[in-house]
Amino acid sequence: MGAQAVKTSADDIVLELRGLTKVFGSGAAAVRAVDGIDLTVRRGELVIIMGPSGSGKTTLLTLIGGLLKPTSGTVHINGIDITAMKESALTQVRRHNVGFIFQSYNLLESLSAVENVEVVLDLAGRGGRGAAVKAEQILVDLGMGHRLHFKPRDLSGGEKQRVSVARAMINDPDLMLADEPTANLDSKHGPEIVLLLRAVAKELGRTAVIVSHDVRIQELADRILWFEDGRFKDNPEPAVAPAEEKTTGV
Amino acid sequence: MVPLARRYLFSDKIRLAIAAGGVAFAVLLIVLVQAFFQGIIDQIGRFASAAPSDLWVMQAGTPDPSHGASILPNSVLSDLQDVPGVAAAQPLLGRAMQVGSARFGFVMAVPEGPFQAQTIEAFGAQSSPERGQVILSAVLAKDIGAGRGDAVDIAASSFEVIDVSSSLVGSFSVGALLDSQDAAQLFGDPEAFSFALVFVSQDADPEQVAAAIEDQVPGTAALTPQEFADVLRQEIEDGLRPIGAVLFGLAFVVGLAVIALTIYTSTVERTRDYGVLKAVGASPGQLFAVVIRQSLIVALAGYVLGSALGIASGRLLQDAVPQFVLVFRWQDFLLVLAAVLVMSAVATLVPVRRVASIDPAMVFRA
Ligand SMILES: Nc1ncnc2c1ncn2[C@@H]1O[C@H](COP(=O)(O)OP(=O)(O)OP(=O)(O)O)[C@@H](O)[C@H]1O
Ligand SMILES: [Mg+2]
Repeated sequence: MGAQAVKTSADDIVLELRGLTKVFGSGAAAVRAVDGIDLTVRRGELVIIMGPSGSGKTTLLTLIGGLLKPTSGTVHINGIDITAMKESALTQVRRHNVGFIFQSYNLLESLSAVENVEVVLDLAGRGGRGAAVKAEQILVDLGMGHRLHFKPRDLSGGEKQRVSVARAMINDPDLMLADEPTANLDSKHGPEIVLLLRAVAKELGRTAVIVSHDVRIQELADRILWFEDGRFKDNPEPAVAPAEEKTTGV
Repeated sequence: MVPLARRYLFSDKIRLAIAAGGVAFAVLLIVLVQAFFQGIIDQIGRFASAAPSDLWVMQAGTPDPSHGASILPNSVLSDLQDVPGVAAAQPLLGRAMQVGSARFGFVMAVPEGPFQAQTIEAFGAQSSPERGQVILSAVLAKDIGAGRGDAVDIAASSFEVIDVSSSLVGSFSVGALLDSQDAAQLFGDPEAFSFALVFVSQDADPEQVAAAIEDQVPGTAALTPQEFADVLRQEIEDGLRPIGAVLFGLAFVVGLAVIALTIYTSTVERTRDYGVLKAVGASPGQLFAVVIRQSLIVALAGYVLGSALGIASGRLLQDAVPQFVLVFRWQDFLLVLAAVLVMSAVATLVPVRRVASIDPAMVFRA
C-alpha cells in the first residue's frame, strides 16, 4: 500500500524529527553524534532504535527529550517544536509530554518505590491526596503491589525497572523514551519490560521509542531502525502506517 | 506530597545530628552571652531605679559607681535645700570595695535623713544593720561563701552577717548594707556622703529642678532615676557590645559553616538525583526549594535544641556561679531566630548554584 492509502491525521504523529544534528566539539575533534536524522513516529507505535556502542543512540534520545539542544534540525512533539523552547517551557514538556526510562534505573535511593513515582506527580503540580493512590495503583498494575514501600536497594533489577516505567507513565505522557532499558536485566526480565512498554503503548495509545542493542527484544518492536555513526542505515522514513511496516529493516 | 527534603536529611542521621548540634552550639553560645549581658544590664539598672526619690544627685563626672566613687561634702545637703523645688534630700553612702574574698562588692549605707526608712526599704532591706553588722545580697553572700552569723572582712574591719537578702539591691546585685557610721569610717570621711536622693515639691518638674541643682550647687550632677539607670546601662553596654559582637560573629560563622557544609556535601552526593529530578520535570525553583528546605530544617532543629540547652544550662550555671545573673528575653530569642534564618539562607547560596548548573543529560550516563 502506498502513502496515499493510509489517512493519518496530524494528531496521530507524536514525534517528528527533521534534519536533527548534534555535533560535539569543533574542528578536527568534532564528533557528529547525530547526523541529519529524519523520523516520524505515530501514536501507539513502539520503535526500537538499534546500533553499536558509540553510534549516538543516547545522544539522539536526549535530543528528543529536550535535555540537549541540537546543533541544527528540529524535534516536534505533538506538533510542537521543542528545539526553540526556553528552559521553562521544556520543563513543562518533560512533565507532561515525555517520560524517561534509563538503563541504570535512576531511582531516588532515599524514597520508596511508591514515592519514586509519586514525586513526579508532585513536580507536575499534581501532588496531594490522590497522588499516592494513583502512584500505588500504577505500581499494582505493573505487578509491583507487593513492593510498594521497598527502597530501590531492596528491589531486583527487573523490579526497579518496573518502578521506573511507572514513573515514566504516571503523568500520562504521549511519548516514552527508554535508553537501554534491558541492558542490566537478564533474558527473562529484559523482554518483560519491553512487553510492558508495548502493552502501555497499545492499550493506552502511547508511543515508545527505545534505544538498545539488545537483540532479544527485536521481535517486540513495531519498527526497528538501525543506527550507525549518527545515521539510520536504511531510510527509516515510513510512507506507510505502523501496522504495515512492522518488520521492515530487519 | 513526598517530603523529599526530609527524606534526604534523615537518610543520614549522623550527619543531621552533627549539623543540628553545630547550629545548636552556636545558638547556645549566643543565647547565653545575651542572657548574661542582659543580666548585668538589668542588675545595674535596678540600682538606679530603686531610689524612692525623684532625682539622684552625685558628684559631677562620676556616674558609674563601679568605676569612680561619688564624694560630696555634707554642706551640699543644705545647699540642695536652698534650690527652689527641692522638698527634701536624703543622703546615701555607696562605694565599690573589696568584701570578703570578692574584689567587687558595693558597700552601701543610708544615714539619718528625712527619708531614711523608705530608702532602706527601697533598696531591699527591712531596717539598717547595727554597728558591726552587715546585710549581704544573696548573690554576694553566695559568691564569698558567707551565711548568716559568719564574719566578713570589709577593708580592715570585720562585720557580722545578720542577714542574707535576695531583695537587697546593690550595683551589679553585689550589695552589702552597713550602718552609716561604719560606712563613713570605711570610706574615710565622716564629713562626706556619696549620693543625695532628692524629692521635689509637688508642683515642681523634676527635670527643671535637676537643671537648677546643677546650676546652683557646683560640682554636682542631677539625674532622674531613669536617666541614671540609662547612663549606667549605657556604660556597661558600650563595654559589652564589642565582646558581644565578636562572640556573636564567631557563633554565626560556626553555625553558618556547619549548615553550609552539611547542605553542600548532601547536594554534591545527590547530584545525580537532582539531575534525574530535572529530567522528570523539576523546575530549578523546585530543586532550590528542596535544598533550602533541608537547610531550614537543620537550622530550626539547631535553634530549638540550642535554645532549650541555653535555658537549661543557664539554670545550672546560675546555681553554680551566682554572679551570673542570666536574663532571658524573648526579643533575644527572636534575634537569634533571625540570625539562624539568615545562616540557613546564606548556607544555600553555593549548593543552589550547584544544583542550577546540573545538566540533566548526565543521568543517561551510567
Ligand atoms: N557530551 C559529550 N561531549 C562530547 N562527546 C560526546 C558527548 N556525548 C556523547 N559524545 C560522543 O558522541 C558519540 C555518541 O555517543 P552516545 O553516548 O550517544 O552513543 P551510544 O550509541 O549511546 O553508545 P552506547 O551504546 O555505548 O551507550 C560518542 O562518540 C561519544 O563519545
Ligand atoms: Mg548510550
